Amino acid sequence: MSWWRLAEGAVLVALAVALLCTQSTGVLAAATMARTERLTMTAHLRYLTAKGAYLLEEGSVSGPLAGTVKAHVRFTADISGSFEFYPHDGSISGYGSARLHESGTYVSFGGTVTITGGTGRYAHARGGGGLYGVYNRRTLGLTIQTTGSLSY
Amino acid sequence: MRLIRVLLAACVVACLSTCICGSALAAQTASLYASFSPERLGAHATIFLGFRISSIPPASQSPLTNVSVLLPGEIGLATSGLGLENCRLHTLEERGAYGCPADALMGRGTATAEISIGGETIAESAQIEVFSAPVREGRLALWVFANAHTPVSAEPVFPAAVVSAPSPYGDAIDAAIPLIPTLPGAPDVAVTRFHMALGATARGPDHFVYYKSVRGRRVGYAPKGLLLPSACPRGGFPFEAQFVFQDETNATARTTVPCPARQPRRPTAQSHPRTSSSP
Repeated sequence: MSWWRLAEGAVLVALAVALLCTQSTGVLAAATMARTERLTMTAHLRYLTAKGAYLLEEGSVSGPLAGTVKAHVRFTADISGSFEFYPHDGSISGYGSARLHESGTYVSFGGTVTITGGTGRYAHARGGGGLYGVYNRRTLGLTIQTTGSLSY
Repeated sequence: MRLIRVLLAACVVACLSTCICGSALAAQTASLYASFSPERLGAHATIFLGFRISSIPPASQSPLTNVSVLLPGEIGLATSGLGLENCRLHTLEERGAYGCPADALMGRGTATAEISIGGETIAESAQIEVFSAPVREGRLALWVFANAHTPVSAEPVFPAAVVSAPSPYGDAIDAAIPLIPTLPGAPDVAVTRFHMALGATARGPDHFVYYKSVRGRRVGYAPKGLLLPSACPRGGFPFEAQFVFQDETNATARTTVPCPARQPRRPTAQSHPRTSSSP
């Protein structure tokens, strides 16, 4: 009898361990399943302040992930900068660089953008793509369109 | 035999000293100065830049072929409001500065050159105007237009580009200067002095206006100029100029514009920066 009970106990423990293992691997699988989207978004930024060649701008982003954005842009021989984008449920950060295409009142440029991380729903955000923009030298405002992929 | 060796050694020493002294005499030195107007942190300002090139003996200077002026990292051309339109090369060459849009002018100045004619050295001045040009190789570009009349009549246009400079500098204006011949067999024109205002001045020969449309009317206004930071960098605003000459020698000159005093100053006040030079 005691042997039967011992065997029953062992089976229960084995089942419990198996169940727990199955559940934990399921959780892990769900955690590592990244969602990848291909997005085209447009940001309209207005000038806040400048320090030398560095501009601080903020504005809104329209597209599949709408929200607000803040950007530090260095405008010298070429254009580079970092941004913090605040869609619903988190934030996405990254940087970009571009070369000038045309100058004058409207300075157009093209280059690449890289997403390096985020917070909240986008804590594991990664991605990148191309960017195209126009800088208005009278208002110091920027319009930037990006097309690329975002994994989170 | 010993006498021959001594004589040979003396010849070698004499030749070496002649060579060394010769190259030292041919070296050019340069000095640079810079100032802001108005000298007010956080305000837009016109930058006055100038350099002077000297040679020993005087009037033996090799023509300048390239100059790069490195601007402080805290100052950017992007927010200056200068060069809102571009001037095309063929416009400058065919119609001169008058053919360019008013909003393409970024600065004015003068250049003085030495010209050797018949064993005599003559100084000639040229009016300089700097215009915004269409982007070249992904960089902001400029045209430098020089207008000289006597004794050598020339209106050279040469390209300049805005490039990135290492810290503590930000933008650098890099200009390739063409060789300007004088008489057959005589040396090319050698620039010895240069002065310009980057931005408009309130009055005087460097004054210019831009135009904008206000309710359908064309209204003139003074472009803002380069934005000074609200805080002064430690030690002041550093400037540097790098020169390359036709004889493949080069020179570097540096200067610092001191931090403006905290109390408000008159808008026309200018600094008296220290200058330094090295061959």
